[in-house]
This record gives sequence, structure tokens and C-alpha cells, in this order.
Amino acid sequence: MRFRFCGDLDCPDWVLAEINILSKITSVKMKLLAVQVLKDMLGQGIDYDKVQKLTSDAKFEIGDIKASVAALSFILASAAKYDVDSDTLANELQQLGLPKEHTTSLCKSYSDAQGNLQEHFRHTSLRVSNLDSVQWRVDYVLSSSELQEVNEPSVQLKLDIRPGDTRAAEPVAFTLTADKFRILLHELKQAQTIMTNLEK
Amino acid sequence: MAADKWESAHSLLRKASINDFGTLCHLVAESICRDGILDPGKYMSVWSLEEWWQVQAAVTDIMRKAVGRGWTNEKISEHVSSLDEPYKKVLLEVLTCHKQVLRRKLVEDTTAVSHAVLSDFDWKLKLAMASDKLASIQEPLLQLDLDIRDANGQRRQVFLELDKVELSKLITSLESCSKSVQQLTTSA
Amino acid sequence: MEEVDRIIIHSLRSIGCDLEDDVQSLRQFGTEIIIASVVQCLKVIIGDIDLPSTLPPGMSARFRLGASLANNVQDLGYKGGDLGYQTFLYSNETEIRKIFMFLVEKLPKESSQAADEPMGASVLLLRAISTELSHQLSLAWSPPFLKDRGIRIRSKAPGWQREGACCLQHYRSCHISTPHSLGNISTKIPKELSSYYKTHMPFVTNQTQLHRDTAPSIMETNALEIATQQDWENEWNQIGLASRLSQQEFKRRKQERLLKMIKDRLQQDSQRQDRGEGHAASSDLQQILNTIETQSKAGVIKTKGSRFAHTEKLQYAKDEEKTMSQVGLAVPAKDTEEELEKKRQEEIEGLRSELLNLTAQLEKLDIEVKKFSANRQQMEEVISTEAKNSEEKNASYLVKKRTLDLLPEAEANIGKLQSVVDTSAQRLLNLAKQWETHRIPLIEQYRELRQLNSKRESEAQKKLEEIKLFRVKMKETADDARRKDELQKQLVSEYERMTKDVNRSAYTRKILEIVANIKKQKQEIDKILLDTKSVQKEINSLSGKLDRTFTVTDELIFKDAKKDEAVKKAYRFLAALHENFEQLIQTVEDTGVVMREIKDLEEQIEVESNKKVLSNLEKITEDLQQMKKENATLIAKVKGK
Repeated sequence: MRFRFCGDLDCPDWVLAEINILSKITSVKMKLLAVQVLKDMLGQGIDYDKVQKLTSDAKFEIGDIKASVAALSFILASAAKYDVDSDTLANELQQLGLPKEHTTSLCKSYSDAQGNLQEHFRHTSLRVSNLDSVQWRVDYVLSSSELQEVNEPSVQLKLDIRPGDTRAAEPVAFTLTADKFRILLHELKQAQTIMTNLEK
Repeated sequence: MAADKWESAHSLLRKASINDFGTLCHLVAESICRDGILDPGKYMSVWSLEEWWQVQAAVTDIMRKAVGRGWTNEKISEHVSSLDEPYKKVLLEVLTCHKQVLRRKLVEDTTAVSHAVLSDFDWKLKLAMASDKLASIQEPLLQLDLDIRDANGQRRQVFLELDKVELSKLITSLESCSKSVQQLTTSA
Repeated sequence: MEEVDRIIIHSLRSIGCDLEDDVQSLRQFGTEIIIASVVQCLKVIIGDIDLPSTLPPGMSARFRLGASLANNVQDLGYKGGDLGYQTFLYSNETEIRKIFMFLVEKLPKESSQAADEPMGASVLLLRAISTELSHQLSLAWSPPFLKDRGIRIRSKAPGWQREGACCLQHYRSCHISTPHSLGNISTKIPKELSSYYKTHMPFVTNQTQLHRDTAPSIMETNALEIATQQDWENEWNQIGLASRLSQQEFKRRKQERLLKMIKDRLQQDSQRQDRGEGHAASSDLQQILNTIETQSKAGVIKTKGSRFAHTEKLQYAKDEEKTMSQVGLAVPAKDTEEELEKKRQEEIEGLRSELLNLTAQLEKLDIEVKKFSANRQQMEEVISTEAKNSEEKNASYLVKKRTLDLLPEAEANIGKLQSVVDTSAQRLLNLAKQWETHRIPLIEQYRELRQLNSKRESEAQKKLEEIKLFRVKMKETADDARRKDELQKQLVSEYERMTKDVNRSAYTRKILEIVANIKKQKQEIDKILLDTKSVQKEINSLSGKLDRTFTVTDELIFKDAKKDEAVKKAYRFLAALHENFEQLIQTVEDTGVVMREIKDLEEQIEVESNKKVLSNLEKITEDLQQMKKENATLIAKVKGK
């Protein structure tokens, strides 16, 4: 069997096993659990006490709790990753043996969060670096040791570049001649035109 | 000091024919512009290596000074007064040829009096197709490589990846900068 | 059949078979066309196949081509009867139709599917990316040493692709010099420059230190020229045009203005600066200021250097001299003795205080000088007023003296004076008249000229506006043209896809028509069947009735026949009659069967005649003859060797 939410691949065995465990708790509880997992994935943190309380009815052991959270994370994350709509997800989860009430409640919370989740994933996708801010200054050079009468502008540029994996921006500052600056701006504008053409 | 150098070099210069001298001057001017190193091989029959260095240093010096200080032709010929008249004429001709380019080079050198200078840059446009988080992203990204030269001559590469928003931010910022640059530019 | 033929011909045309416009059915297909179309179909279906699309001249080659075509078609899964070289070389219509139907079905459908979606540039790009990726994935790995600088040559469209990042290089550029304004004859190139271009200037490819930097350098030089030109054009359009100056004039004005602005600013700053510190620095600054001044003076329009700058310069120069001399004194003291540091310190202190004193004194002196100069000015003013006074007094004295001289002969002199006054008055009047006559035309001329001038001014203004307008329009039109070009390109590419779409709709329409036709035909067949059935029923009932009436009559007459001889005879007649009629019916039925057989045979004859057996036979015999001849020549050749 191939499942769209697994990226047109077979569902991993461990998920199959955990679906069985998930069907032990009530559908309402599972929905609340799914909400907690979604919160975690969106970077807002998970409340483990609440999770413990939610699963206490079904007499889950600590391993079962971990497993169910992991399974829910997998299902929601990979469904969002492959852009599966909630109906299809419901269909496929039922094929995998999750009871109908469970599926509908899970897919309800999934369809609510799908947009946010994808936007979040888009933002957290790998980037080499980000540009935080730009500062510039134009100097008018009158004279120098090299040339007695310069009378040319020169540009000081400072870019705050944030490497993808860290939070702290590191500044890069340098000087440009006016000519170099012109070329730089010209080329950047060309790149921008190509970029906008790409999105038409 | 400079005059001494010239005095000692000028006797050496006489060894070269007038044509060779012209070629030499052009070569020196071009090497100044490109930070290049001259091949002495062609002149080894005329000068010894040490003499060659001396000659080269003298010609380089006079060229840098003449353009750097904005000397007039009279001033230059006054400076190289010990040189024969035809040689002097050749030197002046070469200088008028290369004046613009040498000046440009000196402006660059002036800008290089700084902690870091942008020596080159390169860019390419990429379309991100997918990532571990999302199977279909399709976001255009501009990779901008900045080649920055430090004060001690060390080259450093800075890689910058810009998405559409960041690029437009950068461009609008640079646009306003460009306006003031244009206001201050006089030799268009 | 016509419909089928039309569809087949249409699809053959769409895959690029060269068919005449008047070809309407497969019957018109000659061997040549059949071979060409089948080869074209196979090329489209299988992709790369090595078959000649025209009929080769040699008989044996023809035979081989036919056989390989048959093989290929069978490989595709054709199951309609036996297929061989004869099918193509000695064709008959029905078989060819079957084969073409099969081939047309097998034609790839991707192209028509693709035409369904609306084409955006991004969709096109994505599709191009996916095809490229799938193509690259299907390639086998090749080791790096087989690739020249990481470039792999391939047969498909771009011709090459880069694999691996081992041979990438940094983008380094340096300045490249090229001859300027060579194409423009009107500008004169200085002699020494042209001789440099001719003899000494290296080629652009030799101007970089590393050859691989040549392309970046050229690109960068080019980009710089474009960018500079654009910036300048913008500026010229926005500000330059309105200033109504020539380009050079505008540039020079701008430079002067800029220099003046900077000079003013720096002067303000230096005035504000505390004089107690940094004399040297401010004097440096002063020097720069002065150079700027001389520069701006060198311009055609001389700006007046302010007197303040001159005086300040003098002052600073003095200061500097002093400080320099003092420093010069201090230096040897330092060098001579090391141990006497204290003394030296003291000396320095002393010198410093002296210096302070001196500067203070200097300042005082300065102030005094200013005072003095102010005093002097005052004094000069006083002197000039006094001089004026004395002049006035002198003049009044002269007048008074003359009147005093005239007093003794007052009467006569008064008369004389009166006459003089009168003549002067007369002359004044005359002059006024003359002036009046001159003045009127002059004033008129002046007015006219002024009007003309204002008119010209407004015209110039108008023209300027027009120029601006035209520039804007020019830009707009250029943009428009570019946009339209792009649009046209896109539309052309879309159009190329579209044609297949038309094909598809034609197909569906035709299929629908055919289906309708088939339905109609089926209905008719049903009707006929019904008719036949009813006739059959009638026949059956009639024959049943006949049977029954016969048996009844038979029984009746048989009963009476034992008694009456005449009846017996009648019975015999009846039996004969019955038999005769039965025979008659039989014959009718037989005739029907024969008629049907005749029809079948006629149809068969038609089919056979369709197969062009005779002409084909002729052709075959001809070909056989030719082949025999070829064989004979070959044998002769072999023997000749």
C-alpha cells in the first residue's frame, strides 16, 4: 500500500503499531492530545502535565505516551509536508485502522492547523543565511596619500547577516567605490526582475 | 629622495632604445593598474636583474606621483630633467595615454584605505524546490557572494542568501544610497 | 470509412507527415506515402529508430525496409492477421487502414494532455525542471576524470551539463581597457593615444593575470558602463534637462557647486573649531580648502575667494612655522642626553608655556590688528568725507568768486547772462524735441523686442516640456515594445501547443458523430430484424394453418373416400396438390438461399477486386524481374572478380 501522507510510500511499521495504541484513548482526548502536539510543532512548547492527565484514563504507561506523541507528530508533520488535505488523510488513516471518530477529530484539528503548520515549516526550512538589516553611509573623499585630489564619493556598507542556524546576527562592513556600488545595484536589480518574472 | 632614485635610474634608462623605453613605460603603467608583476625576461639583455628593479621602481614612482599629485607636463619634465629630450617626450606621451586609467586605479587604492573593501561579488538565482520540512517550497532565493578584502590583504568570502522580501529591502536601501552617490558624482 | 480515413490523415499530418492537401482517403495513398507515414509514426512512437523515410531505389533494400517495418509494427503488439513486407509494398486499402488505426492509437498522448492546462511561465519552468531532473537521473554515473572541468557532453538540447562542484571558480574581475571612440570619426583621437592603441595595447584576453578572469572582467566592465550610463541618463532627465544647459556645461556647474558646498561646510566647521588644539590638523584642512579654491578658480566662471580664507591661511601658516621651529628645537635636546629627562621635561614645559604665551600674544596681536584695520577703515571713511567736503567748498568758492568778479558791470553782465540763459533754454527745448523724435521709435523697438523675447522664452519652455514628454514616451514605447515582444514569444509557444488542442476537439466531435451514426444504424437493423421476425411468424402461422387445414380436409375426405369413389379421386388430387405446393414452397426457399449466396459472392468479389490483386500481381512480377536482374548483375560482378 502507498499512502499520500507518507509521500507515496508505505506507512512505517512503528506508526502502524502506535495507531493501535492511539485507538485506546477516547476520540475527544485524542483531539486534545493532537492540539498539544501541534502546539509543540509550531514551536510553542508542549505541556507534559496535561498530556499525562489526558492519557491517565487509558492507563497509558510512560512509553505509550511517548509513542503516541511520536506517532501523532509523524502523522501531522508528514501530512503537512506532502500537502495532503484532511479528507484524504482521514481516508488513509481509516485504512490504517484508526477508528472513524478518532480520524474525524484528528483531521479536524489538522485542517485547522494545516496552513499555520506549512507556513511554519516554510520559515524553518534550511536557509544558509538571512539578511537582518542594511546600513549605509556615503563619504566624499577629498584627498588621500595616493591621490592629491580625489573628489569622488565612496560608499560604506554594513550588512547584518544572520547565519541560518544561529540567532545572533553578525555584522559585515566594507567599503565600495562608487563604480563598484553602481555595478552591485545594477546586478541586484536584474536579479530582482528575474525573480519577479519567476513568480508570474 | 625620489629625485635620487631617478638620477640613478636615468643613466640606466639610456641603455634601452627609445622604442624599448616606450614599451616599458606602457607595460609599467598597465602593471600598476592591474597590480600585476612584470616579466623582466624581455629586458634581461639590457639590464641586470637589480638594475631592472631599479628602473621599474623609478618609472612606477614617477607615474604614481605625476598622476597622484596632478602634475602638469612642465612639472614632470622638470622632475626628470636629467633625462634626454626624446625619452622625456615618450614618457609624457605614455602618461597622457594612461592618465584616466591610472587615476581610476588610485581612486581604488584610496578606497582601499579602509578596514575592508568589497573586491568582487557574484550572484545566482536559485529556486528552492523542497526541503526536509516541506515537499514543495518553490521559493526563489538569491545567493550573493561577497568577496571582501581585509586591510591586511586577506580575502574573505561572505555568503548571503536573500529571499524576495530581503532583496527588495536591500535594493530600496541601496537605491536611496545611490541617489546621494549620484549627487556627489561629477565625472559621469 | 470516410470518417476513419479523415481522422487518420489528420493525425498523420499532426505528427509531421508530408501529405498533399487534396488527400482525402487512404485509397489515394501510394506505396511511397504509406512507407513514409508508417516510418514517421514509428519514429514518434518508439523515439529513436533508424529507418529511411523515403523508398530506397534498390528492390532488395525495399524488401528489407518492408520486412523491418512489419517487424516493428508487430513488436508494438499488432495482431491483425499476417503482416509482412507485402503489406506495405503491395498494399490493399483495408489492411493499410487497420495498420494505421493501430498506429494512430499507439501515438503518445502526452502532447494533447499538456495542452489542457493553462500555461503559465512558472508551470513551464516547473515542467522543464522536472524533465531535466528525470533526464539527469536516468543517466549513468561517470567518473570525474572522464569529464572535462566537470562538464558532461550529451546529445539533448543544451548539449552539456555541469556535474560536481570541483571545477567552480571565484568570480574575480579586474579593470579592462579598450580603445574608446574608435567608431566615431567626428571625435579626434590624440596621436599618442592612437599609436598606443595600435602598437602597445594588449588584447583583452591578455589583460588579465589569469585567463579565466577574462570573462568576469569583461562582464563587469560592460555592466559598469551600462549602469553609469543609466544613472547619468536618469539624472539628466530629471534635473539636467530643466537646467537648459549643454551636458558638459551641466557637469561643470555641478562640480563647481559641489566644491563650493563642501568648502563652505568645512570653513564653517573650522571656524567653530577650538583654536587651542590641533593647529596642524586644521592647517592641513586649510590646505585642502585652498586646493579646492584653486580648483574652483581654475574653472571658467571664477568664484570669488573670500578674504577671510586668505587671512586665515596666512595666520595658520605663521602659526605652523612657529610650532615647527619649536619642535625642531626640541628634537635635538631629546637626542643628546638620555639621563636628563627631568630637565628635558622642564624644558618642554617651559617651551610649552612659552608656546602658550606666544599663542596668547599672537591672539592678542591678532585682535589688535583687527582693531587697527577697523580703525583704519573708519579713518579712511572720515578722510573721504572730508575730501568731499573740501571739494564742495572749492566749487562754491569758485562760483562765488565769479559772481564777485561780475559785480562791477552788473547791468551789462546781467543782460549777457540773460541772453546766455535764453539761448540755453532754447537749446534745451530743441534737444528735448530731438530726443522726443528719437525716443518714440526706440521705445517701440524695445517693446517689440521684449515681446519677441518673451515669446521665444515661452516657446523654449514649451519645447522643453515637449522634449520631456517625448523622452517619457520614448521610454514607454520601448518598454511597450519589449513587453509585446515577450508576449508574442509566449503566445507563439502557446499557439504551438494549441494546434493539437483543435485536433482533440475535432476528434471528440467526430467520435460523437460516429456514435450517433452507429446508433441510427443499430435502430434500423433492429427494425429490419423485427420485420424479419414478424414475417417469420406469419410464415410459421400460415404454414401451421395450412398443416391443420390439410389434416382436417385429409381426415374428412379420407372418411368419405371409403364410401365414394369420386371422393377417393378428390383425395388423391388433394395429396398431389399438397405435394406440389410443398415443392413450390421449397423452391421459393431455395431461391432465397441462392439469392443470399449470390449476394455474399458479389461482396467477396468486391473485396477481392479492392485488393488490387491484378495490379499488385503485375507489380510483383515486375519487381521479380528487377530482382532477378539485380541478382544477375551481382552474380556477374562476383564472377568478374
